[in-house]
Amino acid sequence: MTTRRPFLLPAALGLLLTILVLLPILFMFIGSVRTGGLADPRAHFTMTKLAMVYTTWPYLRTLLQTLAVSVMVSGIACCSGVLLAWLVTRTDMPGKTVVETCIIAPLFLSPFVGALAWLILGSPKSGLINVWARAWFGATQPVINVSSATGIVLIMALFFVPYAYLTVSSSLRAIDPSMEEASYLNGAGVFGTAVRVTLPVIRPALISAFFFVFVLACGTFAIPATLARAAQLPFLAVDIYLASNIFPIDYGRSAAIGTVLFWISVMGVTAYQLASSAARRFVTVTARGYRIRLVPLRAWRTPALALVVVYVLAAIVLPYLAILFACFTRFMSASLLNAPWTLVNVTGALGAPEVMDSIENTIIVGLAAPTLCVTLGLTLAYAIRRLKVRGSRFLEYMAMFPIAVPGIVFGTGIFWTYLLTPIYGTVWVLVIAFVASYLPFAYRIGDTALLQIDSALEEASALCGASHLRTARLITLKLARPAVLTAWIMVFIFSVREISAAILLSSSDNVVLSVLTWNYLDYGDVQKAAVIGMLQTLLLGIGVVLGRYVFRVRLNRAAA
Amino acid sequence: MSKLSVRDLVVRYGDVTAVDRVSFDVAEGEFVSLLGPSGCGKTTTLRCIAGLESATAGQIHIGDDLVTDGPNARAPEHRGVNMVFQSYAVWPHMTVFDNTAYGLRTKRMPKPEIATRVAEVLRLVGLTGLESRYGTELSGGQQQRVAVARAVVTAPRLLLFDEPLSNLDAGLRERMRFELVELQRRLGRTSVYVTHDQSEAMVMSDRIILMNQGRIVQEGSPRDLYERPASRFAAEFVGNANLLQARVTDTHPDGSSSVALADGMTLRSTMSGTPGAAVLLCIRPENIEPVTGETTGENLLEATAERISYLGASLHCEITTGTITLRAEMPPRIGLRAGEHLRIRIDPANVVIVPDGSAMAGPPG
Repeated sequence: MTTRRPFLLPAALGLLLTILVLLPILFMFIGSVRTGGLADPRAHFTMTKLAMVYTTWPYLRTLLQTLAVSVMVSGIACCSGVLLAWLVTRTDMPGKTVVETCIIAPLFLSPFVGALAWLILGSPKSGLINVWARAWFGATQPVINVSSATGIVLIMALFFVPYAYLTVSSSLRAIDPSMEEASYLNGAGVFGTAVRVTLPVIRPALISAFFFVFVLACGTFAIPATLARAAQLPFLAVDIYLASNIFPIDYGRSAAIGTVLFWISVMGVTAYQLASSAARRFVTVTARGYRIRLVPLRAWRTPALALVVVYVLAAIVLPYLAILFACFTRFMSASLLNAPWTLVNVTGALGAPEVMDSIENTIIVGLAAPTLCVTLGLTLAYAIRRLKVRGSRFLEYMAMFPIAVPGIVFGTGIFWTYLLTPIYGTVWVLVIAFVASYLPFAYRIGDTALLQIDSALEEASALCGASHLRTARLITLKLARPAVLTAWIMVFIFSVREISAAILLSSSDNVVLSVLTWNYLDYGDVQKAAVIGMLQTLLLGIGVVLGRYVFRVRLNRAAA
Repeated sequence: MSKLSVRDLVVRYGDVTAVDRVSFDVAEGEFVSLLGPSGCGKTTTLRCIAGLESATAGQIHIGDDLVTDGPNARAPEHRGVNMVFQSYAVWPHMTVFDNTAYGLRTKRMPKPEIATRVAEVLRLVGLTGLESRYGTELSGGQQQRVAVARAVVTAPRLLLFDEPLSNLDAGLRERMRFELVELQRRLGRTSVYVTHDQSEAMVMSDRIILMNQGRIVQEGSPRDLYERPASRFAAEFVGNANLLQARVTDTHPDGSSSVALADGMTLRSTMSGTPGAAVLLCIRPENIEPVTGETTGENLLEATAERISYLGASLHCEITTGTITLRAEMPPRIGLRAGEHLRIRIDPANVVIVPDGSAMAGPPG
């Protein structure tokens, strides 16, 4: 073994992470105090934009509104998540595997496509539900309005339920079932036990789920941007986009709003981490794998199943039916009731050169981003956990840092960083953004995998005379294969459906499917948008099916 | 009327029968252990009594109440029993006081009475002064005491223990054994105790029910079980045993019998047997005594010491006599060395005849 390696490797990794993760954030902060772009010779230092964004009314209103909406979204998602997780882990509800798959399914779908579908279903005038309600039941008022504040909150909550569900259900499965059994034996009933023992014991996990969803909700661009265009419900992430895309374009203002969102996320993630470390403390000694006594639902069986059915209808079935409907009909509000079926939309879209380009771009990004991201994540995990290189703590911190940076904020930073480089405007700038954004997932999955591989297995290889590299290749990588595949599939899904960073970095040459959907929607062509949304969903579906059935990745566990 | 009565309990999971027609009674105030290797169905039986597991068939009565009748079971919260769990299950979000008071609060007992009863029980288990500590701030032994306090404070009709000591380290385990026995004697609660540790069961129980593969193998006092094992499994599971294949050759008027070992050597046992029957002889290592040359009498054998391990309080020896190898425990003062000859004697009262379920008909050896 050489003595150089332990220094060279961490130095290289540190430099790479600094460029990838730290530099964009740094450039965003620089951008927020400049009057113009970096190439502009007349640009100078200014505090006016920061002052404006942090102290004046319309911006503060947006901030408060974003916070309020995110708190409500997270609250609703967590309450539903707790209820669903309790039903699945603690009762004799039938068909649990199917139920759980349905609850988690929205994770593998694009929230943007979901929002588009709900726009088709529930916009006040031309939404399918409202049109049908008018025609069949003579409704004079819209029965549903997804562009209202309530509509936006509910639809956002719908797509964040899986995150809350996964955190809470894994915590419910980890706690010692005897704690609840002891409560029963002390005379408490099902409700008393749930409220006085189960909930308090999982409280830290619940709090961490709350902050996790809160941070995700704060940084959400696609749903409010799709639904709120009519209602003008301002949202920070949407404001960032508007400041850099709608006249008067002001990249400095966009960066300044980005810093606001950045600080909120940092605070949210800090709270999340405090709560998760408390959650780990609460995990106690567990007895052998005794299954907990399942609470008989009896008469509650039907309402419980109804709850799941309503969720699945709202999150998956209705939206994708609506998308299919828009894809295959002549969809105009006048003729909605007897809209004739047609293939024109699909053939028209598939014939358009921009569609073929964006498919190609999406596939390049969808292959390159996960491959690079997982390679980097695994290398980092190996260097930190196995080689215990110098500066491990710094490397780990940097690898996990992007979790506190919403996609749109990263987009802003990457924009300022690469604007003057030839990479800007190509798909590779998206690859860079996604590798940085999803590094925490790849790193964590890799780290968990290494943690589970007994280091004696590697030591045995070393004692048999194999070098570090040979051991890593023949032993570690082989044993970590399932984790590597899982991470790859997850990052693939994230990259294909991503829109917030992609849209900030989009130019004529690097349009991906999600951005193209957005562009069509922006022109008011809902049908073309639906067709592209469908294409994107197909691509995601291929990824999930490949992962699940070819690579045998257990995606339910991976997402947690 | 016994306090607990289990009749023909069967628990099946798919094709696996975890508990197979188990029946036993526990008298008022009695301390009974369910002993057996892991997977023998003892914990499943206990969980059925608690109502935490549902039975496939069989009845369980607590006092006069029928609490389990096949798959129809009364919910655990309505059984008036309490349990000490293997993992203690001390609620981490509650203090020692709150943990202990939980069951009384669910009964809506008046506050002052709760305070008195909790204080009394905490004194009993030696936790006075720790009332405001949280579950996570306690050592394993202290958590164990909280679990016990929480179970006894509700004055349950039946106290259940599910391997409560198996998570403690050896020294503490030994001490807690005696504390638990003392507590049980003082409170006089009817108790069912599940363990896989035979010495734990021996020290604590009035009666031991030995289980294997879902069935009751033998039940009796600890002494019965050790001195009169009724099967190869019982002899091997409880204590160490030399098990030798043999055949009963004669019975004598005093009820004793002669048995022939594989190589033709004959031993006398005070137990009766059916002449010609293939049996196992169970000889405990500590019952093989070294004797001096002049001794005469029955069951005297010439032997050679093959291996000797010095364990302080005793010598563990492997000795051969004829073609038979025996493990023996001898006092260290005899100063035996490997390879030396010695004479040994086995008291006929200590030669236990065990029916050999596995032996084929025909001459042994």
